Amino acid sequence: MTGENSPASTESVFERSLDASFRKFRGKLFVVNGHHALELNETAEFLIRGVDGTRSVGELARALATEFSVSVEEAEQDTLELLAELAGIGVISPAEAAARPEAP
Amino acid sequence: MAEFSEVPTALEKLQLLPPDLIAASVVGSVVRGWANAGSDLDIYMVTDKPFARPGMSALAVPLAPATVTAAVAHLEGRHCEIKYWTEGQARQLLTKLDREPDEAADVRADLTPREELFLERMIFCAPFAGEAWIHAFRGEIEAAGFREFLVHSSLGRANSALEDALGQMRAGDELSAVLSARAALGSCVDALLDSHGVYGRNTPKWRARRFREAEQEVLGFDTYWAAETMRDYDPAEPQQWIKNVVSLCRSIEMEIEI
Repeated sequence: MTGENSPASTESVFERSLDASFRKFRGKLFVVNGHHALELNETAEFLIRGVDGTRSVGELARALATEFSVSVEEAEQDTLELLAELAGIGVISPAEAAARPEAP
Repeated sequence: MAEFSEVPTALEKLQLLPPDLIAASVVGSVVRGWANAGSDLDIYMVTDKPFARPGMSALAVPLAPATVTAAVAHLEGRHCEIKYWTEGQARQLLTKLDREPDEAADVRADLTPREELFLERMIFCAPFAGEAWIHAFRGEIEAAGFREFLVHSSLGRANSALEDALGQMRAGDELSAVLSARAALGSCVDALLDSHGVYGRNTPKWRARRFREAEQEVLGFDTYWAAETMRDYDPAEPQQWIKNVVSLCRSIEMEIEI
């Protein structure tokens, strides 16, 4: 699923929506935003925890590759798809410019 | 506990010790080590039949019988409040806990604060009669899902307050949003402490003391205390503080196991 807030590239930076609430039930993390509810798998949980308004999609993908011992290319593809899905239900959105770190 | 060894005799002299007593215990801040010179001495008694004497008050509870009786006295140098619950009432509370939560409301709203306080205080108390009964009842409280009830309910309260805070902030009502964010933080921290078995959300004045007792790594005390005391609040930019508190609450709720 993709939406207006889909990640355009590995340079994109996302932040979690303040409206999205979380519940951890029997080891599984669920996210709820309005009428949307989603059970997060291990990969999605790793990514949502990493989304902090400062780390780029590429940085998250590299962390994912290390955590799950997969190639960076595969991790980037997974990251882009999962973040697009989360953005599609409004759980994350592009970070406000003021919250992003300054370019070196 | 030796500290309260004079209590049964004193209560007997005052004719406040029921003949069909099943269990009795000192509860509250005195037991938890948080009391000061002005703190009350709170005592719960569990009896077979309702206990009443002239001058005692009756407190409403949605149980059968529909009241808990209460007496006041002066014991151990403190103002003392004694409440008498029947064993039947205590068992009805366990039945309430066994009910499935109302998912639409996100809370099981059928346990009143008075009832909840009774259960949480029985978990942490200093018995001076019926110790075996209290020990067994504690196990039944936990087995009935008291911890899950509290966590679920506190998270529900937190989420309602968070929604209020965001709605008020977006409507430009920043003062109300600040108060809602504070309420959300309190309930969210309560949920965290509840999830670690450190109960007491009905007495928020002890939240910092409870926090110190909880063995958890989700939230550091300094971070909690900075938010609780609004250390970073800037009256010129209240929205930033509101957003930070909401974000903190969302991060905490991610880590609370229901």
